[in-house]
Amino acid sequence: MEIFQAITNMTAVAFAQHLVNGISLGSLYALIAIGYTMVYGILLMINFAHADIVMMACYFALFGITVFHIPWYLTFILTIVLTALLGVTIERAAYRPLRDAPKNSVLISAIGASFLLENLSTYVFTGRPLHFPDIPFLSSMISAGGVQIQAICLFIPIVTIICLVVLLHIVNHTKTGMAMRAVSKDYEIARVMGVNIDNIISITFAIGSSLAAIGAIMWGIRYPGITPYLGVMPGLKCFIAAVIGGIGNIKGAVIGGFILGLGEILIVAFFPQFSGYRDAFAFLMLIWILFYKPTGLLGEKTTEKV
Amino acid sequence: MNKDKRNIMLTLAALVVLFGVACFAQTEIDSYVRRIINLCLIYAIIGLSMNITNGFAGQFSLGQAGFMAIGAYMVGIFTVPVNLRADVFYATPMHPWLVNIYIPLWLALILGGILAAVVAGLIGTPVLRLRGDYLAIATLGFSEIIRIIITNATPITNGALGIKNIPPLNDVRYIFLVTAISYIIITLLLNSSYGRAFKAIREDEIAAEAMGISLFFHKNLAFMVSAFFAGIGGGLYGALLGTVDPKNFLFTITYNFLLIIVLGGMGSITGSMFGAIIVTAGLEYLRLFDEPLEIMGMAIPLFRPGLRMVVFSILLMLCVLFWRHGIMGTNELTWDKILNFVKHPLKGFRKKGVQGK
Amino acid sequence: MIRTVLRTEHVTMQFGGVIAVNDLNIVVKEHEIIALIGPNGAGKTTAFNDITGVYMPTNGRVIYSPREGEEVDITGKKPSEIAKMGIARTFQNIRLFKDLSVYENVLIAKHLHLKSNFVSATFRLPGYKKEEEAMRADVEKLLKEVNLWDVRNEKASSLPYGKQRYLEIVRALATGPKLLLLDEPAAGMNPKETSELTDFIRQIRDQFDLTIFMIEHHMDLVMEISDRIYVLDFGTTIASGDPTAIQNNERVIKAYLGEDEDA
Repeated sequence: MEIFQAITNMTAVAFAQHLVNGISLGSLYALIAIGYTMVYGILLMINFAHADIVMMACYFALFGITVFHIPWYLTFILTIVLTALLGVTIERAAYRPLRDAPKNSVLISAIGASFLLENLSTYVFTGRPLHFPDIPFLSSMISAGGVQIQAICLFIPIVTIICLVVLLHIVNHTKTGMAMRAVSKDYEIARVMGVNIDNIISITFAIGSSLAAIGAIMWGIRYPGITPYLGVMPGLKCFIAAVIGGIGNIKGAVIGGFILGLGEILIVAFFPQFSGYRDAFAFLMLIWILFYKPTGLLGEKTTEKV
Repeated sequence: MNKDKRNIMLTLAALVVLFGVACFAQTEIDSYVRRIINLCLIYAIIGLSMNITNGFAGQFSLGQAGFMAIGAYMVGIFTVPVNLRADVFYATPMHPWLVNIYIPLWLALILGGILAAVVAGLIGTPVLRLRGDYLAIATLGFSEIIRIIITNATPITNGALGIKNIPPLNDVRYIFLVTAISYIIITLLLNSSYGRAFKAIREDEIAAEAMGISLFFHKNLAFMVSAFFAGIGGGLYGALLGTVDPKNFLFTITYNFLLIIVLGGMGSITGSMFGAIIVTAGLEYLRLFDEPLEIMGMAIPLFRPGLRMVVFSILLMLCVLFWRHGIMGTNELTWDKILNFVKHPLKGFRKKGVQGK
Repeated sequence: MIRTVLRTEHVTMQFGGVIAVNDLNIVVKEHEIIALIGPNGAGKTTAFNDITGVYMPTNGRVIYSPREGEEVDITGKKPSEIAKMGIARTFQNIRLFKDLSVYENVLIAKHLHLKSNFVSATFRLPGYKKEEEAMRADVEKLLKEVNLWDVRNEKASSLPYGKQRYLEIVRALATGPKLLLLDEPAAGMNPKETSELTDFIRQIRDQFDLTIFMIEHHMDLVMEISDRIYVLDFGTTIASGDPTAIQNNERVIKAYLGEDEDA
């Protein structure tokens, strides 16, 4: 312990603090990264708007509680439902019409959708940061062995694991999940075999958006400053997390999320002089994984047929 | 006179005429409108630079904001008069090596372009191996990293405070000349064998490689040339504004250029110019959406700040959903077409039904 | 002694658990026309891809001899490098530059030998202008050879299928190769077109001093024109020899199981 402290100039308590923060952040990144990886696995496209769906979920929750005075537990459920609807709507309006268009068009459409959501938020909610409501026991601080943590930090990893277990069950043990896996392995064959592609895609977006909403709510409690652009940086990082884990692979996205979340917190903790560059960490990890194993840690090597 | 010679003469004549217009504008038109014209020309340069990678070489890069920033800061750091610098760098003094270096604008522009190209070369090496979406995210990320570095390198860039007191440039003639020269050089490159190699890569990378075109070299070339001109555009942008600030170069500004090339036609040089005109003028015109609007004495509640960008985003979406080829597609407005139209203005309209794709 | 232009030594290509090409040892001598045949999925195109650098062979070497006395190990080199050394190819599924004109498709194939750098090209320096003129003259000649000059400004994708295959061959020729790899050049052609193609291949071999290595399913073309044939089945070479020997080979007949040439 003393050696550790001597080298790093950090106490055990402080380290534990950072660890908790890192795990929380990592969990949130994981939840969001899953949405990216699922959509990419099926449609081979980056849903640029995913990050902004997170942002919208925050606003939904915020407004539900502070403006409409709906009890928080109902608001959260409503938020998840609305966000899922939003995700499915975006798919219908912006991506489906371009399914047969060249890849670049869908990319531009995704960018456009993302941009639209950001501007819509700025217009409707103004660009001023709004404060996410404090939820009675979740926002309060708890003391445990000298470490001060926000109660929500205990919930975040638990909720994440529950979501992950449920999701993996759906994907691996239900018919719908099987269809989803089939579509992501081979789109054309799945369609020929009678899988209703449109439905499966919608379900994928719904699930991804729901997870994003759950992550967004916890994010809002943890980092209460809500702005229209809050999703941008996390969105980029979460996509990178999905790439690191192996794009298309759900477990990989979770691993990637934790690597980036923990890494970001710990690097700034040990090297505070770099704190201005904390966002750059994710991009450095991207470069590393592209050189070391481009298909990602859990990804499979695929070769293009020539 | 053979076609090529005729075209060169016509283009030169047009440039002379346009320069004359620029001179006229410089003296007769008020500075607000001149600003918009200048902004339009600058956007035309940067839009075309983005078209080199995205439209011609088929590499989806979202990095223009970062390269613009490099060019803009080169201008910001070195063209502010030395005696005014302490004023600007009031929180953290400017780095002693840089404090006394002053260079004229034209040199700052070129150096900015070169530095942007060098950075592009460094980024390009790992990143250009990526296809489609990955490349977009990676270039977007690097654009942000450049901005983050600029925000943090306070002794050099004055960090989040930005740099002001840049000698303002609102001279239509100067910017017109830079734009014209940029367009000429880029057109020459894209019409050369190297430009054709870019198009080959866009059409089919694997076939292009099989025909001996080195993907690594040519993709990097396109990327670096694109960055060079984005840097020059950024430098002009900084001079036009008179200040540079990291927040000017958020990746969202790249979306302006994306709309320009989608609207104008990805793969069309003349299209980029049209796109720039429409987007710049459009963004200005759209400002009316940000102001409260009254019709017959009744205030329309929708019109307030922020609506402009909502409308802009919707236009981008509509464009890509319903008009993906833009105005020009991959075609150019050539002298042939102009002369044909002049000679037979009605011919085009009669034939329209027969046009196939 | 006729020089060997290309040989593969124990080339193997494995994708995960699947061995697509197993211990391939072929020899192609100068000016020969060699055919690689076998049922669908036998690994023929994979072999091509191993040779042209699209794939890195799991094992083995590919040795190329651009001229007398010189041998280069081209295993795993990049396709663009291999093309510059003098090996050109066409593709099974036609990979023309679809939205570009017929003319541009062929002109682009001349880029690889350009000596002028991009600055010289951009500013149209005299050295570049001369090179460009020479390239264009060559393209004109090639297109006229195959009756594509008149449609030179049409989009490549607008050509009828048979013409597209010729265009792809001509584009490969424009790179000035010594060895030409053709992947199913007669695919989709009727007997008359196949016969014309047969003459064409022989003609370009003589005219351009080429060595030709081709994958083909049309047996009349293969038997008519090949000096030697290699037969692949599930990645393994099951027979090699001249056309008569192959036609009478038991294993070959069994592998095809009386399968007629497909149209």
